[in-house]
Amino acid sequence: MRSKYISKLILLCAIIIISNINVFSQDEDSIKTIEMKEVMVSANKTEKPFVELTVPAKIISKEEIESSGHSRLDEIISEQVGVVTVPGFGGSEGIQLQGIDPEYTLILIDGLPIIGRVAGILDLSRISLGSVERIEIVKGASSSLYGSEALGGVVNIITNKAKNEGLSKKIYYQYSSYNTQDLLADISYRKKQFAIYGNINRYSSDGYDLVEGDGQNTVEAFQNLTGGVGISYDLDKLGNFDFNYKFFEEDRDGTIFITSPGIENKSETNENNISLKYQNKLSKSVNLNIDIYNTNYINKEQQIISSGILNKNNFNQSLNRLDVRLKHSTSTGSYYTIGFGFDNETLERTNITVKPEHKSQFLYFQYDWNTNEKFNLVSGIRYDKHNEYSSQLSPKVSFKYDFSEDLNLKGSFGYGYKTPDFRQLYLNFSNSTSGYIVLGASVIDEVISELQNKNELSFYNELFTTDLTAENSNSYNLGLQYYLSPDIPIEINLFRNNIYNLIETNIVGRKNNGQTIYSYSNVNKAYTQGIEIQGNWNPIKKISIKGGYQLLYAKDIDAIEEFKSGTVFARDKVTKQSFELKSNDYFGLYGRSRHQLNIGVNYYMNQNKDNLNLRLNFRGKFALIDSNNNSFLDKYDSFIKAHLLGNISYNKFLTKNISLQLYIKNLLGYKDVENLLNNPGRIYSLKVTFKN
Amino acid sequence: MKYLYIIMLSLLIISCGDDDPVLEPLEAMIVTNLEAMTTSGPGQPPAGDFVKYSFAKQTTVEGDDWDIAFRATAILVNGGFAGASDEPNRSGIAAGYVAVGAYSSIKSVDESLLVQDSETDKAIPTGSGNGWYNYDPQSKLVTPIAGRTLVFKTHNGRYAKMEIQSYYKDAPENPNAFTSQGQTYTFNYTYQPNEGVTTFD
Repeated sequence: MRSKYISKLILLCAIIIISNINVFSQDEDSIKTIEMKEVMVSANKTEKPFVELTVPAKIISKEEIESSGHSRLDEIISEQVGVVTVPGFGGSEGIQLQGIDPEYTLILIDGLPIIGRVAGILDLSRISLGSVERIEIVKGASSSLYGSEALGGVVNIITNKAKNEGLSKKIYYQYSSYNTQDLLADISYRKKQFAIYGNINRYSSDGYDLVEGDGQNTVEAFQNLTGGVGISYDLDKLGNFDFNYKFFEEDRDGTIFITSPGIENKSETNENNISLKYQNKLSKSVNLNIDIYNTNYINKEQQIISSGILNKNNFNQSLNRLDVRLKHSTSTGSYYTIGFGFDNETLERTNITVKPEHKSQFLYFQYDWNTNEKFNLVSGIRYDKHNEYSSQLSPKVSFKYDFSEDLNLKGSFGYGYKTPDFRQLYLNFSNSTSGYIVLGASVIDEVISELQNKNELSFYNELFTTDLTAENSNSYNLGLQYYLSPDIPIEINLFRNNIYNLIETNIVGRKNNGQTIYSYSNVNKAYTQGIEIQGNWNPIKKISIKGGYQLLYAKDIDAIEEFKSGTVFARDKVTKQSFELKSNDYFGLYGRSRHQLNIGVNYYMNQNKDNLNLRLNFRGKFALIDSNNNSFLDKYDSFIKAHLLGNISYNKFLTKNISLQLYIKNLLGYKDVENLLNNPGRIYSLKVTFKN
Repeated sequence: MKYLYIIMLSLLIISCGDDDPVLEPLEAMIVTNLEAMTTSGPGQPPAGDFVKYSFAKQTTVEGDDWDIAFRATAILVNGGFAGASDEPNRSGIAAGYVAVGAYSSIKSVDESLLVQDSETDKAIPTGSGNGWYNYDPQSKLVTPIAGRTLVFKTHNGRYAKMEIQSYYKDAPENPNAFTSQGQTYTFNYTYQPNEGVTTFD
């Protein structure tokens, strides 16, 4: 492992050195910043101007990322309206879109999915912001284009692809509290049709400890490397080839295993992505895109004592994808897209005895009807055939209507789904210390009959059904956008997601030795609904203000019924007597705040683009667990208090190319050491960037 | 075994006419820190004697006049059959069931629900989530489920209702399975001393 790091670090040094030697003569005039209309690819799998989108969406620009001070994806994304990061298993952070859990948002890099959801949540702190060009967020179910996982929406991270002619370089070093170091070298070169680009990022931290004396750190020390190289070549009539290789590797001193003195915990992650994107304009009106993609995610955890390895966990997931699409534009400005392809996915994992392979084929169609200047209708449908589940048909319809130049209305309806993951199907896990067993839906019958034969079962719920179907949702959005003045847009969006067949863990039996047996089943119906308001305002040229607010109601339908029927109780902490809870005592789903408010102020101090950037993020109270033992979140539970997080960064350009950044994250030093383990309090950073 | 205190909470006198038999008042009690320890170690099947309690005598008893008996999380009734050899003999006609409802809302006994202990099942079911408590494997805490009222027929055919409030000594607001003394019951009950009367108000 060490030697691998050393070789990668040599590569990093090499890139830094090369990028500092001006091998290519640099013509000042040739570097033109092309004022382009902001476009988005994620909403339609093809470029479309942002202002013309028919669905609720958001773009986080490179400028915003760079001036923020953040170095990982989870940090920047939690500052967006209606996007909330929630702590997951083992310090990971996922995102909640429109109140929908992190498992149900598809995360893409350059349009291709990231895998490695070890415990359901994809850890966004895994993703470096160093070479990110922009981040696109599409809210609302989008399975009509993307298939599984796109219930809450889609986050697409677009990386640097050598847009500008000539040589571009970016090198930075950031030092932050807890000996956190972030080092990046990004270099790209374009000469007409040919482009080559590469980057390497090393990120490390000593971690931190919020709870003294428990023999372990809250976040253990880690170091990781993110890197990639790519070549793009436009062969005119033969089309454009874009080959890309990316990797991520991480060493971490912590695992899911319990640690105690004398026990060493080691976690090692290796991720590789290879893609080939081919694009060709077959005729004036027909465009062909072919994406070939292979990704592999390996995580190994070991609990080591002096005499050897005490426990280990292996996780090895692979995905191969082919996505072919044809876009045909009509003379009237409308176009349609036809796409097809397949996914092959495999997993090898500790506690999964079988070696599952999932194969699916898909076909999708989208029509962007744009003949009327005022009205744009986009409708699409996707069919997914899967070797393990019933096939899925995912429609989506969205529109935008311009009442006038100042006022428009957007609406969308979409279907979203997520197939049960490998864990929910094949897990066969027995925790001997805590005394429980978890069985996936595809292995439970076999294991249970084995236990029955051995007479080890004291109780089993025969009614328990073992067929898992895809979790799915119907998602509705209706929004108005109004320009108070040309540069003061205000947007209001109403959303509602009806979610069906949510998979839950249930007790299905018990062994004679008292071990409880859990399994998964589709039980819950839930909804999330709310209002999102956001706007921008530049009171004077030097100051830009943006703000947003989300009101959210997220509830379990069965829970609502239970409260109505008077079968939910709580115990008075003082008198110790229990009492019946009423319908309005039900708070809703875990991890959801009713109110979220974000305000960002950017003050440009001078022509140099020196700026002071303040962001305030308010989150209303929420709870992660049921604290009063009635299995529902009610108003008598203990909540994580409403709190305000503030971030401030100061960016100073020393020369045209060299800038200095002072950044204070969590300015107010808010902490909740019992519940929010991903927040160590105030963090100071200093960053030096060289960029041309 | 020690009681910190026993309180007589309320007296309720029901009208007495010339010919009506005089009804005894309902007895409402809070019992704190009733210790019902298992003698086996953690993770082992419970062992040792059950602690036997009489609603009428308002105390633990040694003889056959017990109504219910405790050991760790298990609660027996003095009626039916013993399931294991270390359980006390059932000499009475006691029975019980777990009612769903706030304590004060349980105003009478539903006799059709009363069951006795048997060789395989208990009137008050054992196991997390089945009877009066939940067990959390992570925190290792035993917590009485809110809104569970235990309704009993006593060994000699009277009725009582009971709510377990805590499984830990001095009923701490936030017990800790590692530092709080468990297997120590705090509960309140209402005893109906009049034969044949199934109501609690």
